[in-house]
Amino acid sequence: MLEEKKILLLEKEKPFFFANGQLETASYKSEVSLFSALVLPLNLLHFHLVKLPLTSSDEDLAIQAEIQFYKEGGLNPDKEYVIDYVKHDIGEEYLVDLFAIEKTIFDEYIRSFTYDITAVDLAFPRFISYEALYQKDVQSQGIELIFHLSDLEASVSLFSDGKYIGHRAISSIEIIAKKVGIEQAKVKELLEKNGLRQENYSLDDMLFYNEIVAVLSKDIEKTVYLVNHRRRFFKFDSVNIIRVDFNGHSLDGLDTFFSNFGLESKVVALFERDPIVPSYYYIPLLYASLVSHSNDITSINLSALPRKKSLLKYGVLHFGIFVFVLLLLFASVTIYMEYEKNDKALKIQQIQKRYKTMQSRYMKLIKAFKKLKSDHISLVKEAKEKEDRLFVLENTYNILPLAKDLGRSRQKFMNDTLDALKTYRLNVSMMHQIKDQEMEIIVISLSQNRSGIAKFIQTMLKKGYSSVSTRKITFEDGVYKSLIRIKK
Amino acid sequence: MRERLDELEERFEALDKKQKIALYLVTFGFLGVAWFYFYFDDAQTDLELQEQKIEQFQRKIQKINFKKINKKILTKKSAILEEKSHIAKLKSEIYHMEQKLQSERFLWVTQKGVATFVDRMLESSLNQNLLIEDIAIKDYNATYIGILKGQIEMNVTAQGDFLNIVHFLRSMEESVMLMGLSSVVVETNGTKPLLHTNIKFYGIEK
Repeated sequence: MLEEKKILLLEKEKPFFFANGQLETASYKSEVSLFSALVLPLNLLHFHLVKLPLTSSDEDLAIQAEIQFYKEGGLNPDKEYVIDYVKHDIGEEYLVDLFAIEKTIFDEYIRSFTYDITAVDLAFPRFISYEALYQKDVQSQGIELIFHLSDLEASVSLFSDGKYIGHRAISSIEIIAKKVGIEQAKVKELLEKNGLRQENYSLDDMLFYNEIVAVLSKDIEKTVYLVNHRRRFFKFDSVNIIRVDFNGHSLDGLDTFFSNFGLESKVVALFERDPIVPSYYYIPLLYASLVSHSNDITSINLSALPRKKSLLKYGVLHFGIFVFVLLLLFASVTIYMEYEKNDKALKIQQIQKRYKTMQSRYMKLIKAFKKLKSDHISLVKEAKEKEDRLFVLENTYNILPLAKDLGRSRQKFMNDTLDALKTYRLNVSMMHQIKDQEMEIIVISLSQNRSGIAKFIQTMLKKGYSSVSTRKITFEDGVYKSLIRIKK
Repeated sequence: MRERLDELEERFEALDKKQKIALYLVTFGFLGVAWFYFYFDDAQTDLELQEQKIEQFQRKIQKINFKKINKKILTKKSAILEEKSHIAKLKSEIYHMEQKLQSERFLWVTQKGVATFVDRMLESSLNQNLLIEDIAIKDYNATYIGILKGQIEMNVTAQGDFLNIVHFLRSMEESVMLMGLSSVVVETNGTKPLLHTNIKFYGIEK
């Protein structure tokens, strides 16, 4: 788990992180981007416990709890705090564990570090970090108590099925040393060497033993009070296991103390075997790692110096970028469409110009064609006139011999007629010749000679005249008169 | 600046997921609708109108067929040349024909020719012993054949023997001028035959 994500554990002298299977110190500046965790000393924190109705939403719960914290928990309304809480569903209502740290205190604490800290992603009291154990290293056995004792702080914390349900600060080695009046190192040495077994102490140290036991007895009493208090809410009979974290080890003889106060629980070391790194670092690192992965773990974060979100993670900036991209998209399409419009307008201008030029040229050609057509019509007309003229001239010329011959033709007509009249001894009282085509004659003959008229007609027909007819035949005084019409 | 941004971020993050989605959708919808309504719709219409105008001009341009009109012009020019050539040929032929007709100009009636004709006619009447009773000469204008026109008409009335009349008519027809006896009437009523003849002299119209 620790390998998966590097967590920077902020300690006073230098930060640490877990890498390559071991704990390594780090340069804060170079690892400033890592998720940073800070364990807050219990003496800097304020605690309070309230009960709130189940109907409250998380938001309401937070507000109401905060109000009560200020009102009943001793927070100064003139000061600014970072507040967090853990809610426990105890059936009819919520039991809410409230935690707070004054911001100025937090800042002071941070400033007391040997390096400048720019962001704290997770700030929490150590006792809550033990919950991480149940997620990774330890199988929970119902109600468990973790007894933590270290140089500067000490606490007991209760867990139900691996979930935090309560805690109590107890005397650290430093406090014990002050109360007993000996050096802190001496107390630690005695406890590590002899535990809490009277028989392990020499006569010289017996005084110290008695003093230490007196201090610890009060803390055990407090612990029993805590257990009894929480028993009412979480309805358990007894604490199944007491796990001791005294620098990762157990404290020999502690079970007897608890037994004396009615807690007949099995007392074991926090780890069956030593963890890969000291529990002091391991447990906060593991906890921070699990919290940073948003695992199902109780999270308390009292950081007054939260890491400022990277601008890239700002939702409002995402929204701004979304609007910008949207506008950019619309603007792009707008620019493209404007370009298209201008392009088309230009095309229209060009095509219009081209059309006008072509049309003008075409109209000139049409005009030229019309003129040519008109010229052609005139020429055709002229040619026709010339043809007619030529035809007339040719006809005239061709007819000339015939025209010149009209006299002879007329004379022949007359001679033929006169010959025939002479042959049949016919007299004529009138002769009317129309050109060389037709002739009317009034023939006179005696009655004995009247057959001559018929013979005359026959002769004329034989001579090739197309029509010879007679009419108005009269007979008067023995003389026949007959009008004969001869056509050529 | 950063504080203002943080404030905005805080307010933004205070929205739940559904509200954020709604904000995104509403913004998109609002900007989209506004853009569509105030710009895109009109621009699209403008583009369509421009496209239609371009197509309209293209269709007009397509209708202009230079090849066709040039071909027609060439054809017409060729026809004109052909016609001109034809006319030139006709002119030449007309000229030739007019020249030919001109060579026959002695046929056409003239005042002098008519006077000569009357002289000879009178002389012939004396020879044939005819008594000319009347000679009437007048202008006459009627198309005969082609460009030949009757130009002078002469009516002659004479009395004499029939055979003399026949000879008299023949002598008149010996004139070189183009003429014809359009009507010859000889009648007798127990007396000497009386001749009424109508003579037409022809010329060509100029």
